[in-house]
Amino acid sequence: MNRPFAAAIAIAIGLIVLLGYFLPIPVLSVLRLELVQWAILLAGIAALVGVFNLISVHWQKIRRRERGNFYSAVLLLTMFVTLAMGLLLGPTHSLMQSLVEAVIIPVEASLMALLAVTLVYASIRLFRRRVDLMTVVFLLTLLLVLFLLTPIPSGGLSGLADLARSIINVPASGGARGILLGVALGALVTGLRVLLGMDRPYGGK
Amino acid sequence: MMAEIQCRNCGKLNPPELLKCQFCQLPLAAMDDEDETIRPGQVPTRKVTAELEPILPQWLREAREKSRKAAEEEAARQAAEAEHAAANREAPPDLLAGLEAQTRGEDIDEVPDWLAGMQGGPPRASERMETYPRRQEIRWEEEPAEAQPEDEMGGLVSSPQSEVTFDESGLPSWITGGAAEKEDAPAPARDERPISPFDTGSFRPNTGELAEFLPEEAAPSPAPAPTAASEGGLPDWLSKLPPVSGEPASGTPPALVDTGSLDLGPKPAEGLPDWMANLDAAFAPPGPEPEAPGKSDAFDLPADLPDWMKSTGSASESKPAEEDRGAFLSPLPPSEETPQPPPISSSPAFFPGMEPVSEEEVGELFAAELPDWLSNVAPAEPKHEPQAADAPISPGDLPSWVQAMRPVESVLPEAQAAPTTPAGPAEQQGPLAGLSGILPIVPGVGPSKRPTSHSNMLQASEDQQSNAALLEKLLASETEPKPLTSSSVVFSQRVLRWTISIILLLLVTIISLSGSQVTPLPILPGETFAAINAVNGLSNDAPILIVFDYEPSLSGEVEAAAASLIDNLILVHHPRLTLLSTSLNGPALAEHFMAATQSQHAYLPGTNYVNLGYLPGGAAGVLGFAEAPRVMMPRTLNGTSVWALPPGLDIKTIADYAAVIVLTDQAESARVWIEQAGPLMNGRPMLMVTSAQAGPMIQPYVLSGQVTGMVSGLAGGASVEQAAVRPGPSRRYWDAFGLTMLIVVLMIFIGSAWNLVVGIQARARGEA
Amino acid sequence: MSALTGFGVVLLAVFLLLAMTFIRRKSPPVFREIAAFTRLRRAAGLAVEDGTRLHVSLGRGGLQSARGASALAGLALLRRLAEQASGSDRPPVVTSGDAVLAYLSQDTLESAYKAAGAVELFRAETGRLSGLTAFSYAAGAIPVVRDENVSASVLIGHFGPEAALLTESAERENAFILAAADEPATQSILFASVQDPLIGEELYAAAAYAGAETSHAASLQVQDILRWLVVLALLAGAAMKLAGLL
Repeated sequence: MNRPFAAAIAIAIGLIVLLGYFLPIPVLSVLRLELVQWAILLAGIAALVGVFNLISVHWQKIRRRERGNFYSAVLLLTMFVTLAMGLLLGPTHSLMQSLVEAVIIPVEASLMALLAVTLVYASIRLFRRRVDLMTVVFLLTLLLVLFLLTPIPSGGLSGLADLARSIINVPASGGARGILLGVALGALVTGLRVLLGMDRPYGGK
Repeated sequence: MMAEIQCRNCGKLNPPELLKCQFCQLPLAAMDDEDETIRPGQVPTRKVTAELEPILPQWLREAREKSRKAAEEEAARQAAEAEHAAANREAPPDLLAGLEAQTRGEDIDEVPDWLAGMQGGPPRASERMETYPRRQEIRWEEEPAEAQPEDEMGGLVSSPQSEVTFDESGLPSWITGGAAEKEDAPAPARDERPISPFDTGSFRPNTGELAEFLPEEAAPSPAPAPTAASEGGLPDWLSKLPPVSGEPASGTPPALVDTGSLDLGPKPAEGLPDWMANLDAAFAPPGPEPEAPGKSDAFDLPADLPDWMKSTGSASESKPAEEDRGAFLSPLPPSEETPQPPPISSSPAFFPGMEPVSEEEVGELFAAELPDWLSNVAPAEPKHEPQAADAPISPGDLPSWVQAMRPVESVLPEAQAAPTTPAGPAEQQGPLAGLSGILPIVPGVGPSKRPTSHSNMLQASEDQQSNAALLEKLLASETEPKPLTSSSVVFSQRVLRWTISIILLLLVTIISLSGSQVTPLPILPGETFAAINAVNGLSNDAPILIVFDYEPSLSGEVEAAAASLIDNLILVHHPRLTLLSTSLNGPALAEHFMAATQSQHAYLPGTNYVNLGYLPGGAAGVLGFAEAPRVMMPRTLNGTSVWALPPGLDIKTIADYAAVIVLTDQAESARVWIEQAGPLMNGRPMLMVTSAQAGPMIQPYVLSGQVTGMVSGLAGGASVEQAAVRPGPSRRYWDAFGLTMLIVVLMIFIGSAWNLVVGIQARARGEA
Repeated sequence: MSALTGFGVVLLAVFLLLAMTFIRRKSPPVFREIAAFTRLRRAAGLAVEDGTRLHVSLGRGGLQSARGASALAGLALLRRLAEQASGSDRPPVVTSGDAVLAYLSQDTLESAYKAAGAVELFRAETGRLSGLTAFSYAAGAIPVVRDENVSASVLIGHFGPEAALLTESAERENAFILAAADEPATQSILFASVQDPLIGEELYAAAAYAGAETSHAASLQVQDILRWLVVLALLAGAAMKLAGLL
């Protein structure tokens, strides 16, 4: 498709959805709902295209015999086996459910556990990375909140848990909300840039 | 006379009038028509080239006629001058050939300066190169070693080995000397024979290539006669040669072709080719003994030579007879090793035993075989031609390489004014080796006054110095090699990681397996209390929407947090549950949740709950589902209609659900549901079950009332279990979670303190 | 009322953005120094010089959600980096956790190569979908850092805690890391695991710092203006609350 034409379509649809969200005009609301459904459909198709991209990348890795191509082969093999089972047995079959429970959940949970080790290690080495005021504040706050929220058998420090919650709810949440406000403004302007065609991640610019 | 025709089939000779071979009966003409080139082993057919004179174009005939007239005049003039010429001569410096060509105003635009200077004329047609034998094919038979030119500068280098002398006929010694030796020496070995063009496949008729290698018996020479038949193919450089004349050498050069009766003017008296006669005219006959420096050569130089060439040697100024000689050659010391001029040979040395050839045959021969540098030896302007002897060549007319080689006198007036030493010290090295008096040794050539001394100290302002220091610092930091991470450091990092992993793994495993429940449960937070109250306030058999929006990695935490709340809900109200997911693995996680945590209620899919599956589209999908759930999710995962089943019977919008419970691990997902679906719920309770990391981010929505209640993390789930007084997964995990967290705090504290101290010490050492 | 307020904010932002973009300034805008971007420029140049690869990870923020804004900011930075690295022997490789984002990353790479006049060097497989869930995405991106001679790894977009795994893998390869996430929780993780993390809305300034066009600088100015307006609104609301007017 001609890229200026694509940009025009993208801008027009974006404006319709935006106006339909803010302005109580029935026609715009209907159009917005229809376009949103198209977007949902396209998102599903995009997921399928993404899977093909995944297959292509790992197939190239196997064909070129790059490093780690064995794992790519395992990935493709299990992918096709799972796809065949899902098509033949259906997604609600007990075997499919077992695949999720026996493979996906344990693997991802293991990565999460590995993340715990990584974060502890990063926190320990934080002073090696940099020593400044913010790092000191960060580490002190981290240790204080963790220690106050940690349940200990004696329960002697449970009374100080309110202090920890106060730290979380007041300064930490206040700072986080400030960050979120900034992020929201950045998101707003970034979205407007795409809406106005200044940025065209769909290839135009 | 027509030559016999050789049959290509049998190789035998046939009379020319025959059309077929008298031996093998194969046609002869066809063979000739097929290919006119001479094959290896075939005797060249003689042709009377003079017969071709009438068919020459008019302009060529006029040019030839003019050339003949000029040759006659030149012969007469050179005969008179030959009496005064020196006996022994140096080889003409090819160095000046280019000057001559330039003074004639030849067009050499297409030739590089260096090449024009070397050749004295532009190398014209490239096709000529195809007919020339290759450089390595040129072999000078019987050439004495001492007479071989070591370079192509015409023997400028005056070393005895490279010094070239001329005999009486003007031939260089490397030509005649070889011939002299040839008379005494045996015939050259067969393997020394030059490479035949037949062998190389480069032979073409009428190029004269055969003259070089044809044996004596293969060249039956009739009476020598000049021929003009081949002049039509003469190259430009040869056609520009001055008219040839002079005293012909004794003997007759071998002729490969019949020259007929073509009259080209006075023929060489003794068979010497005219190009040699030209040499003879240009150079005085050598004397029996080498004369003083400056007398060894007497060839004519162009009169428009620059001053530096004429004023170099005093001999050239003091001796009028030598004023036209190349002045820069005059200081050459006499070479005692110069061989005596051999007796005049009747034929060139490279034609051993051959009969003299005609003039034009020789010209044709050299047109084909002479190297370019040699082609400029012969041409010499007539001496009587008006030349501005005193007019130096302007620098613009000089080739660049000549300008570069000019002596200092020509540049520095001061040096020119100084008296020139007639014979200065001879140069020992370089291109001027053997030449004396070239470089001035007079005082005052250099700068006349002492050069101004400049301080070596850099004059820079403070800003410049500071900028330079900054630049130096930057460059130093860029070029400073970064120390590679030592293996010990990498090893210690791995050890630290493994140590942390082992400690955490052992703690969690041991405490979980021990079944310890010594750690007290947390106090019920306000938002969790609100969530429990909201659940308790629901009516029985009410439709409830439960959203599964978390990843499998956090399923353990979120399921533990939600298990008790949903258990309490099902236990108290027996609601009709609709399960929806906004993450890809959500449908399977929903089934896993119902099977893992709610199995005690025996809820059946399709009857007590329905799994709608994955809702794509993010915020847009949530908004669409909130507005029209039947449109967005018409069927279940099994393909059956959702809204005909008991859990979805009364549902048209999201407001028809009695409550919405969102199980999520990210604040962003919770925010999407709050912002997109919350406004459409008409005040129905929205409950959040989140991971511990997302809880604080959702807390503001709880405080603002957009979220009715929230259960956050394992602590929230444990508090719900405590309030409901029912055992659940949170209680089982609580002790392991608490103790492990305590160890983590200690590790971070100790490790951070250690690294802080080490870092401070390292900085102190660095500053010291 | 709230919808109209939001619409007014959007209109104001549009007006400011257009005004700041098209009004010619006498002097170019001056950005405050952010060490991470300075190091990124240097790392990108070094990657081109020494023939190593640049890895850009765009996170898993789908464009259908509010996370998509961070992904768009990442695409804008990717465009600049790809133009700079288009002459490299090893083109930049992009990993994403969302299918639409992966497709857009390919399109952005192709546009950058076209702009650099080296479209023949573009390879579609350099824009990859490495996983559809958080940790599968991280698990798919880690081998890229490890196996493909990556000297600089840029994490920009929507990330969860899995970002720590990505930064650690890059650190093991001694690669430069620039990390920016839109989630505050993830930012706290990156603060502990990255030398110079980007905090807050610095993520959306990446393209402007990477030497993009005037409109990116105008975007930063609009953000500043809106931020001051929000501060004033919060202060006014708090004052009115204290005064009992709200």
